[in-house]
Amino acid sequence: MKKIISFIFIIVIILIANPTVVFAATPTPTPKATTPTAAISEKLNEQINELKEKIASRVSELNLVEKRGMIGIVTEVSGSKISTTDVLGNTRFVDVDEITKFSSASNKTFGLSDLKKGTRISILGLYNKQSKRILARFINTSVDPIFLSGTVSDIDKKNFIITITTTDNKSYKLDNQTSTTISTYDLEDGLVKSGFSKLALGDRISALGFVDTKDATLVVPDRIISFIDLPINPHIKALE
Amino acid sequence: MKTERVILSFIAVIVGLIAAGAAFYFYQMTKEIPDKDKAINLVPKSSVSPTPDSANLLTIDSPKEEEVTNKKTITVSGNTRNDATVMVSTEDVDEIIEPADNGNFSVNVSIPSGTTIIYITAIFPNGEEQTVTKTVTYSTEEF
Repeated sequence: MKKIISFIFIIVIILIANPTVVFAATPTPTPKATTPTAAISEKLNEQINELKEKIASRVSELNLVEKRGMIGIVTEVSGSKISTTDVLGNTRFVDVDEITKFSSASNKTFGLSDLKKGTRISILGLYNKQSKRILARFINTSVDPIFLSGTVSDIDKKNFIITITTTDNKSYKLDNQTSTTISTYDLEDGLVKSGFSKLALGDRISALGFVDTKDATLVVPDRIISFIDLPINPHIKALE
Repeated sequence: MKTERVILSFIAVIVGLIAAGAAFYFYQMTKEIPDKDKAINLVPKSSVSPTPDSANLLTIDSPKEEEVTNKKTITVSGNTRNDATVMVSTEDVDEIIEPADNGNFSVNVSIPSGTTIIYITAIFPNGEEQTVTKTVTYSTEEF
């Protein structure tokens, strides 16, 4: 009887304790006898791995940097660092070094010291995706055209000036020159050459030109397109 | 003797069941059941909220912002409403196109040397418009 009770007690203990057998995740390595061929093979493997690491490192380095070109307005120059505001309004940091080339159409000796707050420049260089900085290789002063889209809100036939009110309800005076190309567009005929006399109040137009160097309130248009069969933008309150 | 064995075996089974039950109970106590409310919150809000009105949208696939190219002509492509009028303007040229039925459009435009801004405007039938700008650089410099 005692034997049976002891047996049951042992069974119960086993059940409660629920022992589990634990195996090693990886088999214990057994020492191998290294032959000269194995040693060479091992060395070769090491060299291959080193080479692989070097290639991987170079690839990630190349992926981290890319060529980029941007336009910005200088906000600050400090040593070899330039802070700019890009065309989308973001603050961008530009680094220059001894091989950065500077050029300007109006200044042959243009350099880093000529950069002032408000100078509009184009930068071509290497953009680092991690630091988000551009290492400039070329910096040029930039004169970019202005693009306007809106409605004709006034026509000065005497001086060949038309006023355009844009979507943000700002007004710009377009000083038409003999070099200005005026066209009309509709779905049927496409782009057709037109003239100043064809423009009318309320026309939907787009214009691309440059701010007048003598009068900053004027835009000298290079091209004007009138969209004769498209409605005016409902957000423009020029003619209300 | 036989009766005793049967009783003891029975007791052993009972004890075993109790032990197994206790073990299962402890297992259940320590197990984490995911909260149903939390599981629902894992779904992005945007997928359950009403679809935004994407009627008057303009997206540009090419060129990429601040792209540098060694070609004087680049492809401007994107998507908008199929009844919109799309105008692509560079310093050199204006191109006006009508998108395909699925709203896709693509046009080749020439760009000047250096860094320039491309203006892409979609004019919608109600008169509204949307303009996207892309800064692109033509350069053959190696660096």
